[in-house]
Amino acid sequence: MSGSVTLRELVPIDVAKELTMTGRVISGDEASELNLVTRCVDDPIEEALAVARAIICRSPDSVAASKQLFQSNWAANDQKCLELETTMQKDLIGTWNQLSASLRNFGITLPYKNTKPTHP
Amino acid sequence: MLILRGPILRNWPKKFIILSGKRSFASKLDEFADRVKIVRSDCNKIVHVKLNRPKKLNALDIRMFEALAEAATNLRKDETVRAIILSGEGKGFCSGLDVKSILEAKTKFGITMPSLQNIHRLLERRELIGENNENTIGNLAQSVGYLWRSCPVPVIAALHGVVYGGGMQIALGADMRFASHESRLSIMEAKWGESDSVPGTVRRISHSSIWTKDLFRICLDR
Repeated sequence: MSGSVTLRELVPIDVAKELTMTGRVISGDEASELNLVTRCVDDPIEEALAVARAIICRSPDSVAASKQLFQSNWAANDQKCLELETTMQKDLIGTWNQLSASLRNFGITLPYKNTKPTHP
Repeated sequence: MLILRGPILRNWPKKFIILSGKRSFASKLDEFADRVKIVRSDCNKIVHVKLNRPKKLNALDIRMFEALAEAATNLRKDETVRAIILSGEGKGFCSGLDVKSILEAKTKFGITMPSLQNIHRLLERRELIGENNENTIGNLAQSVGYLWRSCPVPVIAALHGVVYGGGMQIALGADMRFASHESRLSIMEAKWGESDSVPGTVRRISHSSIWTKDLFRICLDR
């Protein structure tokens, strides 16, 4: 399926080949050692909820930009990486959500707007 | 295709009919239940997308593929959503492709017969391309994993029980994966004589018949 795109970001090529060629079943703990999962926990749903709640305290625009920045740049060349980083920073600076995120550092909480940037 | 010769060739249609002939009430219910359950929490900001076919360990049939692709497509346009959590109902996250149901289709007369219709549906790329959206570059099989990357919000997979094959591919499409200690994961395609992302490399897609033949052979082999 989309594994040839997603797997290359997570594991070295030898691990990808071994797991794919053998089809070996691994435990959650081994998957965590191999970096195939982020971490192994007792209650994955609770953990996911906790992380999601931590993320939604941040600006939706900066979260969306981070996701897109890493996805686009992980396998791109340095020039492209730095270009996109600059474009995104310029887009974010001075926006309402950036202000709102910054003010939270001083104990002032203003609600975030829904905007999320897109750079297809 | 040596395997198609001899008694196996003569027997295979019967084998399929036996497998799909009588359907219990439970499996009829399974046929009509929603494949994906969507629950919202935290003032609608967190959306839980649950694979909902617990009796079959959330195996991927064509409706599950479609429901997941639809959920991802709708959620990426949803402005109120701030985070998405992917999980499976029941004993496991997802046991992978439901090979039997993928290789069947209902005829005009309501009879279930072996068919490659679903395979073609899964590997069809044309309908997904276009509308100047870079994120619709895959086919339906790829999109259940890949579309989550196009959502402008974090997608977190919560994994428990079995996470095999197609289920693993969906999990890999998420931004983060949290697994329980007892979970069991596998890139299962090797079991079906396939490479990791069979429909994942452009070259193989253009020769999709190779894949369908392989899959068919394996099912007969079984």
